[in-house]
Amino acid sequence: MADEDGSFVDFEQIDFLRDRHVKFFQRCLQVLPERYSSLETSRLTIVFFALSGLDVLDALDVVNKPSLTEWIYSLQVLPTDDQSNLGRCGFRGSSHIGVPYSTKGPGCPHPFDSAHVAMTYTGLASLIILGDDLSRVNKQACLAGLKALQLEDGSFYAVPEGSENDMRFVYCAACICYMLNDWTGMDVKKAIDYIRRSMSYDNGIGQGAGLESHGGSTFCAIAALCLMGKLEEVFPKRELDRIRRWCIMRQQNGFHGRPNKPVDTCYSFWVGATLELLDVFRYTNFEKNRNYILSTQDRLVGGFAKWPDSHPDPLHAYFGICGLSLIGESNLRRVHPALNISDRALEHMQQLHRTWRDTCT
Amino acid sequence: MTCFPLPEMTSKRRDWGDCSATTDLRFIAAATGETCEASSARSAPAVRFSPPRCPDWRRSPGRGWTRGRRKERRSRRWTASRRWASRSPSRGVTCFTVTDVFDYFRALLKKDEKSERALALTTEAIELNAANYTVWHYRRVLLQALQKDLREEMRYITAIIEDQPKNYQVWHHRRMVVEWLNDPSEELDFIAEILSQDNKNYHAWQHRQWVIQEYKLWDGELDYVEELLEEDVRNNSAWNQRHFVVSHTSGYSDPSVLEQEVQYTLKQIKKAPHNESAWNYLKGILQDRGLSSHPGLLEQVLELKETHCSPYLIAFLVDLYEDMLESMDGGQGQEEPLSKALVLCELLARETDTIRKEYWRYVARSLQTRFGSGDPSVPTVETEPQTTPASD
Repeated sequence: MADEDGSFVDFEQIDFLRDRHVKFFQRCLQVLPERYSSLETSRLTIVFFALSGLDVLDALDVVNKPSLTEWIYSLQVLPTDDQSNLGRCGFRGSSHIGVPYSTKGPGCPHPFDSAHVAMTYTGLASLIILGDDLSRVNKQACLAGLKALQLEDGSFYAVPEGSENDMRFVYCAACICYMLNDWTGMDVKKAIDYIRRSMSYDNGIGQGAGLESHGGSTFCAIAALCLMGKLEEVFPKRELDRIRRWCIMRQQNGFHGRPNKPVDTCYSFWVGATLELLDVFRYTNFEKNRNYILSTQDRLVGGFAKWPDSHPDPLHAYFGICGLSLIGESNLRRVHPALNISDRALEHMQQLHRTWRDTCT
Repeated sequence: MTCFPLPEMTSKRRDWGDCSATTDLRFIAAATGETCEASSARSAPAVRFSPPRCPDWRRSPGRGWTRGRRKERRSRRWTASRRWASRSPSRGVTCFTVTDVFDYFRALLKKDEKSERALALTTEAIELNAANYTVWHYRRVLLQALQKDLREEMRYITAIIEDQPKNYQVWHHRRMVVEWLNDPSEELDFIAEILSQDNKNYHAWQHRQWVIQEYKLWDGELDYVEELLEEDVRNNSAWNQRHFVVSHTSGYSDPSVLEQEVQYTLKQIKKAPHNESAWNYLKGILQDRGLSSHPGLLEQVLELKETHCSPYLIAFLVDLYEDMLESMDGGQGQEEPLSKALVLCELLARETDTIRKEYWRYVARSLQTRFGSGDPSVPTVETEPQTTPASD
């Protein structure tokens, strides 16, 4: 298709409605419609999308930080008196199990109460975004809980009772170690091996060995390696160039997640951030990407959807905004492409790490 | 459904700290005639769910009453909770809500009760929220403790997956039950049925690969892949599955297998030239041996370029020339393949793949840097850095 450099751009509405999105995320933090009830066990991820979204929009002032902080701490699975549940520690997605509300230990024994790796990741990230110092996080317990989730092949379960295992949870695990500044929570070598074996013949990365390469798993793999500081050790330049090519071919106008699939707003972040980590995002077409993302903006209720004229949801709202942040949309904070939090939040985390180091020495 | 006399539920409510009620229905217990208040919801400040009303009709601001958008399916949760509510209290039948089901679930979970009524409750809970992984885990515990008929369970799982084919928990549950039964005999047909509804369903393909690899069911899978590619040669999942099967059976080291695959792929490309999946497959099976080492390939592709061109073909040629340059290893004769590659990069940038024009110019610059002699007659490409489009 020929480039239309000089031609008139069809004036769909492509202005970014910041205030609508602020309200959208505020509502996410209040009550969600019943059709989202399948998110009950992962409500903490919704909180993360809303908080991080508001942070990128530079609108965290609308949030009741102390109240949210307490709620997040109430989701921490803490060691019981006899410490027999260390392998189950971390954060829950919500109070759905019915454990009595508590923001401090010791943990309450319950036969089925355990953490979920994605909730530990989003819980820690949310606390950092809220400016918390993580002093009430039992870091050793979180790391013990994480270690209990890693399989022989290097990948991770989501929960100690067992679940599916794939690249998503490798990424969550890497984020947890990175935020806690402690890589004893995982066998890095095994995780790297899992990532390497998940690279497909077409040079994208799948959820596991043999599986179809996918924008989401490619992001999880590359971002995890970047957080570990191992990207160039694992993939020599020739392979990085191949991965770059696979990723950059995902742009159609917005981005899709697999060849011959329709585009979807969230891939503007998954693939965009991967390209940024690989230092070639600047070679994508910003204008077409921006136009696509904004075509999925819901002008009435705020937020973004995967496609135009579809219902917005917290995930696509968040990643739509992050996708715009990557291209430098004005009045949006920069997002760290591997850790997926704002530069401001990252700065706070780095300060915490400095404090921890100073306390140790 | 029998009543669950669990009066301690109401006192539990106090322990749920900073909560607010989203429902406060009363229900009548059929068996005992007892009246109990349903416990309040357990959501704290952040992110609560409104109780199930009738999502079919919704009042959208500015749009009045609408029936919801095209892509939305009728909410199963509505159906389930409506079924509960529709039983007439005057006939003394129990009325439950979503909240009640999960309140009871929480109570049984804490007791770790192993009973038929617990199993029945997990069925109700799954209908209301099939994504609750704790319910599924508890169900597995019960299936084993009560020694339930796993074949019946497989029928149940099949129905759930048909209804919700993108739910992670039910696919994982299926895998567990197949493992317990040690019987994959229904799997390939079942997955094929799911794929007939959405032939790119990642869960289905993942389960399929697991079954095939675990139980060594490679026979016939290549035929299945070819059937799918006949239906839709652009199905990237099918191409991936092709690679999965071949690499785990004959492998690509056998030259006759490799040639067969190359010819098969070129044939598909002729049928549908603008197909990234086919080109990715071709490149993928040849790249580690060197694209330029495959005899006759360059000529075949140059021929295709005349009648079946595409951005993928041109990019393939760039990669082929790059491989040629690499194997020359700084020796003589680099100018020609380099010049050809640079011309093709510019063709991509200017004409055939303009959305990636900055990238193709970056590729050209890299090639020039790595293989160029600094000879001024060789074309070089200058670009300006990209600026963010005006966004205010």
